[in-house]
Amino acid sequence: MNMPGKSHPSPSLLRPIRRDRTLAPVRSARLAFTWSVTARCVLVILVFLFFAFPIYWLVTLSFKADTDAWVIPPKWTFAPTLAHYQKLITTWPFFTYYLNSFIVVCGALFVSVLLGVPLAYALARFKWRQTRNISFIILNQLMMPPAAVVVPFYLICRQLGILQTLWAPMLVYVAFTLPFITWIMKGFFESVPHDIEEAALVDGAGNFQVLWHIVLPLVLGALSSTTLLAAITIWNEFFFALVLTGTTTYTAPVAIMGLWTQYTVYWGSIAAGGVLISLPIVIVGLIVQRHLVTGLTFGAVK
Amino acid sequence: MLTTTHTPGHQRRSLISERMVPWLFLAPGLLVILALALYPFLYALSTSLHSYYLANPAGSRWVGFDNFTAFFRDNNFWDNVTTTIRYVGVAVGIEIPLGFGIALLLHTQTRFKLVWRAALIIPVTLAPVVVGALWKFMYNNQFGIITYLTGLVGFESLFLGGPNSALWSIIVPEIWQWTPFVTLICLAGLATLPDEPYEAAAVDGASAWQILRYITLPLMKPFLTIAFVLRLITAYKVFDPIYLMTGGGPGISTQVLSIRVYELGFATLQMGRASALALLLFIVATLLTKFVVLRLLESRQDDEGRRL
Repeated sequence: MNMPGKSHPSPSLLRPIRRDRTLAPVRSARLAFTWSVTARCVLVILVFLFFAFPIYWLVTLSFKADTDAWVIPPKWTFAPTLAHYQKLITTWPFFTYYLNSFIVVCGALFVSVLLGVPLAYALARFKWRQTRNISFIILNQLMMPPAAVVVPFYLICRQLGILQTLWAPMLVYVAFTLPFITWIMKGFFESVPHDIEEAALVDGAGNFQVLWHIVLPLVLGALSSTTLLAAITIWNEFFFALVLTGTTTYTAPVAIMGLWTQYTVYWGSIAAGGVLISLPIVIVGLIVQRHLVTGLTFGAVK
Repeated sequence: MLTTTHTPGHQRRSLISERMVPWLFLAPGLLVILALALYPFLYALSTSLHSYYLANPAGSRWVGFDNFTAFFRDNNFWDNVTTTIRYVGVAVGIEIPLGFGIALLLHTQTRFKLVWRAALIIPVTLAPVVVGALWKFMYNNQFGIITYLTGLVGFESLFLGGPNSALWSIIVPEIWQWTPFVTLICLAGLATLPDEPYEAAAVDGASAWQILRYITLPLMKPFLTIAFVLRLITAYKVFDPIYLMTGGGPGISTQVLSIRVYELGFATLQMGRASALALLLFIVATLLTKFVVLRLLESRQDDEGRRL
């Protein structure tokens, strides 16, 4: 074996001299350094385990046969089975509930985007005497606990005769998604330089054309992320759906509760349902992560 | 084509319609928001002044402020208030420093970034119902992994089943789900910090603690404030995971105000009492929005220069 160092003056000749001079300080600095790196690594791994382990446990539970799930000490290796997923879809109309969720999300989003985008643009671009009050109403709606409005919404839907239909949750979700989309998009519209629009307006384009052909393409990425974030919120919503829907119109999160019977709790199927509910939103969440923080902080952190 | 012929009549028409456009943008959305925000509020106001048992065919009866005064004689109500404050206080009090600490730890961690970012994003996006079910399973008194692991180190508890441990046990999933939210905000904040103060501090030989205390913390204050306020409000809204894990029990030891509204309205069908309590929640949320959130979010949005 030819050592590449052989052609150079051997570093080992120099090393003893250097070591003699600087041994103590260098080593202590090195040690401190390596210790902090190790500590960091351990901490990072601990943090990772704390957040990732429950997710891992949920996913494995959904693939564990009951005999593997209900044992002490817990089993770390097991033969995976799809039995819980099969049961969820065949003996429990989970697919229908899944579809319900999907319909409600699409319906609420359609109305919210259709009305919210022009409203956001109007608030961002034109001077209104009441802008501050409108902002307050929008934000107030975003901060409202569901419990504060669930009773009136229930009674209103009862009066309208839409209780236990999908119209009821859709109506309520528009009440929260429309202000959300308006508020976030208002922030994005404000960050579009005004000059571009003015040039187009001078050239004779109408306000509508400016919004549609010039501004909207600029914020399209932000708009799709905002819409997807709103979709996550609606998809996950439970409280209103619990109160407003019935046996055929449950959304997926409420349907999970049905596996919680008085006599048995079908934990495996609950886990399988949990995985199926989470799968689309986790994917969406990872896709929109660039705008996730913006959306979660209502535009405060960009 | 009309648009190419410049008759005076057409110009007037287009001027009018151009002046209308902002209103056409504004009106439909705003009207829907106003209807969906104000009508339920007025409805709740009216219901709260009535005794209204949903099961009673005779309908509702005017009782004035009885539904409100009833709460002040009701010991459960004050327990609910204390539980809510303890839940919010403990959860947010732990989440903010923990989330900030984790952000400081991960800020310079470029290896496996995709992996740990995913581990932060997934809890935040999960449905609270799924989180509740998952932790309820892990807390199971016989076969739960948490019961097993804590048993290994000799710690025994009924967790969700114990009147004293239940509140703590429901706070842990809350911390698990929302600490990453604080971390994500702090990471976004840390990425915006300027280099100069740190270079100056290095030249001056400041200790790590001094750098954190006198440079990082003040610069991070706006981000921490936003995280704090938003966590405060979302913790105050909480319903799903508690409903799933304990339903407010054992006894009323985990009955936060949201759960109580549900109890009153949909378990005992007392719509009047439920509306009165809901209005109280409404007022607290509105005050928070008016005096804290509005200022916080608006000033951030106006301040384009800082790109916060």
